[in-house]
Amino acid sequence: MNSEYDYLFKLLLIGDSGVGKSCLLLRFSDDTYTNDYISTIGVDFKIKTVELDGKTVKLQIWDTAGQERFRTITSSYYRGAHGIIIVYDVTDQDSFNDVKMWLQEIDRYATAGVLKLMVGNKSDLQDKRMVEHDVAKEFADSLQIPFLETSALDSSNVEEAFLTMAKQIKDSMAQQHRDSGKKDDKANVNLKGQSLSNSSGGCC
Amino acid sequence: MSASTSGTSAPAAASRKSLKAFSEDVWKNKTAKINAELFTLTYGSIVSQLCTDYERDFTRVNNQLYSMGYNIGVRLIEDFLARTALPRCDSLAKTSEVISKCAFKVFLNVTPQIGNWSSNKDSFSIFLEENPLSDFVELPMDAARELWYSNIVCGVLKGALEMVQMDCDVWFVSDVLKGDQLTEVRVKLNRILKDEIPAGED
Amino acid sequence: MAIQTILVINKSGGLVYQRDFSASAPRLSSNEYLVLAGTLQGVVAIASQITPKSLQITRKTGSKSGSDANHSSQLVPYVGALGSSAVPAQELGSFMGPDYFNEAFTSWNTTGLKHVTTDQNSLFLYQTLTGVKFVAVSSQSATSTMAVSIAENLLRKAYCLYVDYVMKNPFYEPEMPIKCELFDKRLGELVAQL
Repeated sequence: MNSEYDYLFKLLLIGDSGVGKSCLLLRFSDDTYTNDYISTIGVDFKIKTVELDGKTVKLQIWDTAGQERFRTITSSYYRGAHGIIIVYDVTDQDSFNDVKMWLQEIDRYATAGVLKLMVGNKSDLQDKRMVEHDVAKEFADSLQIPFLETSALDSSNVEEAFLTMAKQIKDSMAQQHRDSGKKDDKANVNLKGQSLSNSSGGCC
Repeated sequence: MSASTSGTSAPAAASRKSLKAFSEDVWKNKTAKINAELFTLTYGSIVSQLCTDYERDFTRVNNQLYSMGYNIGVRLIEDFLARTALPRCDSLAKTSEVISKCAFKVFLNVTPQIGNWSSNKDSFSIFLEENPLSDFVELPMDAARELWYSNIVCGVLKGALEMVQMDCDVWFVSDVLKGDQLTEVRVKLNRILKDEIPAGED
Repeated sequence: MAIQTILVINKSGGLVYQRDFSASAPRLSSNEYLVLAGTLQGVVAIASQITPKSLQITRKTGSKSGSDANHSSQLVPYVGALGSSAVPAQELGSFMGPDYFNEAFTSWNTTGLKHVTTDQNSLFLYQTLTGVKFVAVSSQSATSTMAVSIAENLLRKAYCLYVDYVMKNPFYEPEMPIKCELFDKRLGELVAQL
């Protein structure tokens, strides 16, 4: 039966191929094995079950392929995402430059007001670092996107960021009910799953 | 300005019938009905309660009605589609026809006129000659200027159209309750949410 | 046709309902079902892109010329009692009459995935104009046109139940997991008819 969880949130992981998206959450998810559907259908799944305010919440993380050949399909994976994590590799300048392109994709395909998080991966490789923390931080701040750096050695801060995101999604859901009388209520996370970035009231 | 040209121009089930006859059948033979007075009074008590709760701030009342309508629309569209199984409309003209002849018919048993098309065919008006929501209603003096009594209708249309991937603005232009000649609802299509159209329909 | 499992997948590819109807249904964990639903979302998107052009052209010319012969290729015939006695009218929620509908209907899903057959199982998929997917898994390898029609009728009826007992439940949160006992009950009755 379908009673195991009360909420299901969709989180999307995007970024250039090779930045280490898939490794990022390996220890975080319920099952530690990798399914590796990604090379076939352009997406892989990781699921984390958490408890929030006494409710069981499933975070289904859609780990998308960065390769060009999946681009036409991956756009359809944006649909109805509650949160999006953009990943780059601190040792790869191009992957950081491409963050702008990924942000454009979000604007085009995702729900207006979707929660975002920018993650610089492989921060343990200090001697190969190409993207300075301050530069990335400034960029993220200018767009008001939360930012953090992480590595395979210690990914605890990513897990924490995910949990914070889950909490925000749940809160904005409750918020939507409370605020439904206000005209700007569409500025909150739009849980109907429509991208309305061009219409009035979109924030972020 | 057209969605994918899937499907036929008339409902499959009614390929030999007109949309009007088809809608009449859905309304008459397939829809459970309740007493109209109870419906009118229920809606009336909601509006009057909102006016009290929001201390006669009618802009907020309008917004709340719109928002309630939106939440109804996103659910009601599923009922509409399950009942009628109508194909996707291939033009806004077709959409307007389905709204007036089918949706209004099935849910309110009225068939409003469609008109006032903009020159680029992206907006039209719905003229409600009869409005079951506002039978017996007289607006109090202080509400007559700002309150759009039936604003819930705009929200319903907005929510329902959005679920079939049409981003529209919907608003009241005039209302006989306010002393206007006609009750006119305006629908403007901003864009078709092409990326939202489910895979398999292209 | 023995239905093993029915799934409801929201338009984002999230599994919001899953129920087994037979003891022989494979025991998958909730996470495995979530992955299955997400995978289907991807497969449907891919299928719609690889549908042969020739088929699409046929369809388009068909709708342009408007001839009945071409229309019928998209029509799903109405299958009445799904193999057993009709259920009394009062059992049909807000839908009046002896059945939810009584005419053939057009499938909204024209280029996407509709069914998958293996040696042991069949999977049927019915997608609404709003993007909700109703999926049935059968324990038989069903390839006949009749079996596909029955499945489409069954799933459209499941959609009618969803409309009544899920969407019209004011306390149901759209897009979230379905926990509605009345829906469970009615869906059970519907599947039992087969």
